[in-house]
Amino acid sequence: MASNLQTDGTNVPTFKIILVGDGGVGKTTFVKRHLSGEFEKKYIATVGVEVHPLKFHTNRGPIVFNVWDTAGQEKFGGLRDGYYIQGQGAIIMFDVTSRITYKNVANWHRDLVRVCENIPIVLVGNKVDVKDRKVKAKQITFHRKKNLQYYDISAKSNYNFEKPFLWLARKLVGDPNLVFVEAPALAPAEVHIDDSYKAQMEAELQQAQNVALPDEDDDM
Amino acid sequence: MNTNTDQSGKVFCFDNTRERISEKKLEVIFNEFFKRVDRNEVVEVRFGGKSFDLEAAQLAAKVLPTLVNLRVVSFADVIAGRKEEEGHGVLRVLSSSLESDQLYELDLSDNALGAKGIEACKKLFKEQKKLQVIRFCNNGLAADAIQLLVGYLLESGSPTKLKTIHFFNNLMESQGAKNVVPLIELSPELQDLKLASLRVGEEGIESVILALKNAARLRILDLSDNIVGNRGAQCLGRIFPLISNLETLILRDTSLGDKGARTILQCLERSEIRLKVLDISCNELTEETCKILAKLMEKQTSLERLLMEENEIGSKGVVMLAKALSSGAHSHLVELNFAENSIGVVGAKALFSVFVKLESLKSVNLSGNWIKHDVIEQLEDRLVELNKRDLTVSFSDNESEEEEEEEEDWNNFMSDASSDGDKRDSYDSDKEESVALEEEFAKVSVGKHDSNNS
Repeated sequence: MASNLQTDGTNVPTFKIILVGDGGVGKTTFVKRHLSGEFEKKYIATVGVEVHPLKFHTNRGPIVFNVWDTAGQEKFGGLRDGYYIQGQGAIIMFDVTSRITYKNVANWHRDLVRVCENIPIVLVGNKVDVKDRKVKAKQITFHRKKNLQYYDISAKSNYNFEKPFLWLARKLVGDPNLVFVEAPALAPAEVHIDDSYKAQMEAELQQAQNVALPDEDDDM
Repeated sequence: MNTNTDQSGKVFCFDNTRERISEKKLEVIFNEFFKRVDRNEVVEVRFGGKSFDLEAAQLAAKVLPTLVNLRVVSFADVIAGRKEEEGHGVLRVLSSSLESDQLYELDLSDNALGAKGIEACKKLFKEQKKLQVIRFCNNGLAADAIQLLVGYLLESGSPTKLKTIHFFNNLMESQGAKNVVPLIELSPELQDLKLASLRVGEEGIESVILALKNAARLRILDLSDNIVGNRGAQCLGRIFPLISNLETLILRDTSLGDKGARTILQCLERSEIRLKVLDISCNELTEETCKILAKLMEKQTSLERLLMEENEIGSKGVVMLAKALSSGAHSHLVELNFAENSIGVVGAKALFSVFVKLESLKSVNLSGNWIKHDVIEQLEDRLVELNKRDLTVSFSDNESEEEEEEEEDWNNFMSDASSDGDKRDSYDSDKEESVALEEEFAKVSVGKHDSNNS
């Protein structure tokens, strides 16, 4: 997808990434973990959005994701074309402690693809550090119906922070072997997920991916 | 722009296009509206769907005080895409424009309020002491915002007039739920409480439920998509005798499990409560719960809707419920939802034979189960024969590979009354129930000459 490449004046490939999801799922918390991005963020008043430039170092050189944080948008539908136009990738976020935020993923997705027809989209379930989950691994099926990538994340613990960006980088650069060669500076973890719990979640997720889906479209 | 008329007066609202609105455009809309409608006739204003800038808000703030009979205001979804300060400025201007003690209903949903947004609207909360209905859905309210809001609403120290309190899809969590307690305790008129999708844990739910001890007029309680669990269930069970006017209980997706559901259903059975709506969907319930629910159903003949989709009740569970409904006493029942419950052919047929006789029934959902396609066709043909035009039965997305587990064929079930409906059965009561149901089924499902509904 080299044609989608933009540069920021220093010839660093730059991509517009749209971050959407219900209020309270942790979009702003997530994007603020990346410290230099938080430091350099810009507000675009005309569309009411904060843009965080998140720089990652890959084996093919640095790239920047301009992440459009649509914070303060409590409702989908209309009014959002300004965010979506020229979006090159997207992250749809829900909160695994709230079923409604997962149900609304379908609405955010519909809103998004109406403007950005064919961009790579990652679905992320945030707050997996909380043990009382409302949305369990086996219930997360939307991404499989729509061919999105899915990751469990925990913004507060930095768990899987880079995963959505690595996947997007590979898709947008067009190199499935691209790797990050240097970890970005992240805000220190506020909670800790122990390794056995991580392993358990990963096993559950893997198991869930292997279950056949019924033939249906939009229902979740 | 639309002008709706409700029973008591005119309603101002915009068209359905969600967009930003300028002062100029708003002025045109107001002028056109008030050419046709007398200001004294306007009882309700809905600004939702248009994102106001400060100038537009100031214009609206000049118009609102001229509507002396205004009772219902919706400022839901009025600041989409606005920068935080601008959005709060808009809310502050709109909130300050209303006369005190004017409003009965207020909706602030779909605005990114947070604590600062609540602060911006404080004049509304402090000065509207006749409010009966408040709605805060999708406002990004966390515990601090709830505390601030409740503080403003209760500032005068006297009880509120609130009948309806709705909080939905906020960040309340258990601490926020505790912060809402004083509002519930000081709202003796409360009839309709919705605290749903708020990330509240058992601890917070417990506080909220205990706060209902004086809510004798409560008719509707919706705690969906929080964690009620067994602890919350026990608490709720204890409070039932004090809220015996309850009609609608929504406990969808509240991590009840069979244990929590058992507690609630048994306590309901002992109470004076006569439910119209019971929603216990998405709670990992099995036939264990159905056993108790079936018993409860015998008394709950006022029930209009029984919703328990996305559980694991299976054919066994649904057979028990079908039996409970076969008495014909449930003459108000309009909806049954057993979607996604691993129900096979036996359960579907048992339920079918009962529900076709319930005259009041409008909708049955059996989608996402394990019912074989040929059986579905058979049942659908039967529905046509019975000429049940007002009844919609959904069988979509049935049959999966696991459907093979249910091996019992209806004919075997019917012809061999001495055997159980389900060979893998481990319930002693099942056999008895199957036999008891046989007669009922024979009349409707097998007999081609019944005169029912013809």
